[in-house]
Amino acid sequence: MFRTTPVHPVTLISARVDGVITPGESRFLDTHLHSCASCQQTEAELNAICRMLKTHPVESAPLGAVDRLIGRLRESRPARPAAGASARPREHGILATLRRLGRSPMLAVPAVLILVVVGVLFAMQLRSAAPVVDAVRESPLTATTPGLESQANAERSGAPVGESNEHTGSSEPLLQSAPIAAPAPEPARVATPRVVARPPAPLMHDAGIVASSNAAPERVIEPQAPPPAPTELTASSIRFRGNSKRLNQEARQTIAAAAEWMLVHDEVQLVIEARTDPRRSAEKTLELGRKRTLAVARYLEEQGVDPSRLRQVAYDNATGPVLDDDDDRGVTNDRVDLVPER
Amino acid sequence: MAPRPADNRKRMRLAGAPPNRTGIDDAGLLERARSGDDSAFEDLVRRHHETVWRLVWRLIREGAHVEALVQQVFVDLRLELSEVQRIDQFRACLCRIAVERVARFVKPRGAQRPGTRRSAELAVVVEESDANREELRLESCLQSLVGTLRAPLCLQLEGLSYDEIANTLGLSVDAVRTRLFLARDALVKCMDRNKVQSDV
Repeated sequence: MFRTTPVHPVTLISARVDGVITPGESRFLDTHLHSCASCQQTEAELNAICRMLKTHPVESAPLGAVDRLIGRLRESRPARPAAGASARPREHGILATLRRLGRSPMLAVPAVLILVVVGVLFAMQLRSAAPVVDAVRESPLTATTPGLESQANAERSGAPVGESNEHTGSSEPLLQSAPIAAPAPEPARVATPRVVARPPAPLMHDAGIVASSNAAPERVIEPQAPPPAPTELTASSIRFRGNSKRLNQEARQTIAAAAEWMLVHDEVQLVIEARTDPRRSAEKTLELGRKRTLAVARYLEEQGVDPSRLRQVAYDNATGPVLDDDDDRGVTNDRVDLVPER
Repeated sequence: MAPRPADNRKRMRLAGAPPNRTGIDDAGLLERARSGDDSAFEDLVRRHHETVWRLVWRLIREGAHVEALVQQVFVDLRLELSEVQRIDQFRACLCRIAVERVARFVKPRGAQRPGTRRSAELAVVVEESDANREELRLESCLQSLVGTLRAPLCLQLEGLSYDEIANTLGLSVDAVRTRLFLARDALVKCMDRNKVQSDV
């Protein structure tokens, strides 16, 4: 059920005082005024204030003010290009725009700020572009190292030592060093600088191996790190569904990987920790945890793990449950963790 | 919204049209001034000087700075004369420059807004003179009126139509109508307040 509040056409009352009102609005206003005492009072007040405003004294211009104004206008008369032309044609172009901006400080200040920011960005762009040029000059095809520079200088007749390392000048050093480093008959010499330039010292000796092979010049020799030893057990969490203790395919793969890891690391004990949903009762939590740890332990035994290396732990509601951070549904862990213990 | 004949009379008065010793109306003077005739521009200045003076005085309500502001208004007008095509645009342009000039003049003064200080002085005078009590009270209320309401009211008192006020202030006609009501209503309430205070 709607309750409408009365709307008083006060702006119409004000407009009728000025005579700016349509006949339809005037009829509507008369109808409203006939039944609204508040608007009648408003009309009387507005009429009174308007009468006062019309008769309110206003200061007129003093004698001589207009002559002083004309004199000032003559003094500040702008120069005109030609008689009969337009008084002040609107100018176009960058200079005219800047002039207009200069007349209004509210626009000039942001414009100057924008120019400064653009200039700074342009300078930063130029500075960031410079290392790209240096990187091109240090490409494997052109760069030389101090160790090889003596050889290069021996082949180069008359070129000063260290010229190819000067990257700040023109591109002439680059052009001079390119024909020396690029030839195919000595690919090893081309490939070595990249390896020698690496910080670790042992790679310096790899250069000899590369030099004796017939590898392509562009090939980058990466250090062959030994495969990491499987010192840590990964993917050691086993998930269960509902109240089940059944191991699914993923769980079996996880346990098999853990068993393989246990066979390699025979000094490690394995703790099988069961955590279950705390919304179950404490007894059911412990019982389900024991069943699940037992199932995991049996499968590990089937995979050849000595049962004496396994320890089963089932946590109850108070101590065991850990919220699963990955589960945004708010469900707690319902899982068995395999924790190696040395 | 059809303007009444009274509204047209106000327009004529604002236009400063005849009495005219040269026999040329404002539109002709504007055309000549735009083509570079300085004497035509001076005639325009003479015709509209009094209107601009009163408008500026109504807006700032103190005489000390009116002359400098009026001079600056006409200097600005000459710079913008090339963009004024018609005589009604000329009037709106002139009033707009005046309102903007006054706004720029009043704003940096911050708390020393025109009228704030004089209201207290006037209150003393009200006690001394019964004959001018209402006018001085109205003057005090006009000085305390905020600029957004004072500008349309002053333009209306100078005889501009609602359309011209809307063009001058960049508002819609409905907004002008509303602001004029709010200005008058604020004056009514202010007068009532002052009356109660003086009675107490």
